[in-house]
Amino acid sequence: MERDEDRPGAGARNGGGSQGGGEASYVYAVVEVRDVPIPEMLPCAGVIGAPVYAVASQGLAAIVSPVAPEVFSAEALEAKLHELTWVAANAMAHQEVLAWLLTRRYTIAPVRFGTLCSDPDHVRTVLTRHAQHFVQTLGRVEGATEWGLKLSCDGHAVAEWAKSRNVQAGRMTGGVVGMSEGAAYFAHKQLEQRVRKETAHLLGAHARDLHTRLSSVARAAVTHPVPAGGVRRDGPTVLLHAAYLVADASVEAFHAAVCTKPGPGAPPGITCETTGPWPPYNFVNTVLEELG
Amino acid sequence: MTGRAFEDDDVTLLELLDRALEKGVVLWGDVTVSVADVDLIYVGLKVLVSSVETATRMRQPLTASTLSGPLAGHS
Repeated sequence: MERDEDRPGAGARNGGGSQGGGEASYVYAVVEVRDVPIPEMLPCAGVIGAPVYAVASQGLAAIVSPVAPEVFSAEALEAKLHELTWVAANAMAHQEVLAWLLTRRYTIAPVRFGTLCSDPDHVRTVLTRHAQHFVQTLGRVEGATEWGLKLSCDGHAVAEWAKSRNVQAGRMTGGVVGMSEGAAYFAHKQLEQRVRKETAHLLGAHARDLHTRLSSVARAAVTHPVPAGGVRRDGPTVLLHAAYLVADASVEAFHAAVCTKPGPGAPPGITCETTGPWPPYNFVNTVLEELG
Repeated sequence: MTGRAFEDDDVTLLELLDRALEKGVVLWGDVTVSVADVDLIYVGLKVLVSSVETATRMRQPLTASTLSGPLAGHS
């Protein structure tokens, strides 16, 4: 638990005191530094409050922190990943370092949380061995940032709306007057099903339309699976969960497209949330082969 | 900067974990973390971030540096 005291930002910047012997390198990102020089030490605190350094090689630099390898060993992490405050604080610290780079317009390939190299020499070997791959990856994301999008609808609002449509539709079809109880029940169920189908269709059409617009503005797009099973009645349902790689010059156009309203006749309670700018996590998602 | 980005702490934290723990370059053979239990973490996190105190504490580092940079002016 004492690690929680070491939260980044808690002022503990002395983690580098025993640099060298026995310390692994926690890797945050690989950065293009041919055109933009990078300081040897970055003025931010990293995971578990450790200092942050740049290890440069061939126009690239890896951003790293010296950490005790046992803190990020597979067993230690397995346990730590269940400590929510630890995960949140250190994922934030990881993000903080990337945000520092992002706001200074470095082109960055973010590395997955919890990645260790055995020492700075190992880091240099990785950079050298995979230089071509990193240069290609960085070229793809240069001058762009990632934006996250979640389009969802409020199940309760949609259900209420569907109910009112049921009533309307019921009136239009002459209602259930004169039907037997069983037939009326059947007619009602059929109607309900039809409205539910129409609703799902309208929501799906809006999600697809929005995604098409955003994709045309973005340099690249990735969609994440959304829960199957249609609109939940008791809470929000995610209709579209996606990430977009947006060139700096297109950010305004992207936000304008985000504000696209659902077409006439669409259900109420649709919300669209964006987050960003993020480092391009979703667009550097490659696995490099093991070092021979 | 409008309030559009990062206006919801829950969303932001979950989005961050979605990325930091599941995306990004993987240096195969060097990665020590393999997150099989992300869903489990999320369930707990939802409880965690529902505490206003925690949410406020978490929002600061993200908004302070992520939104004050040059990129923040775009939207």
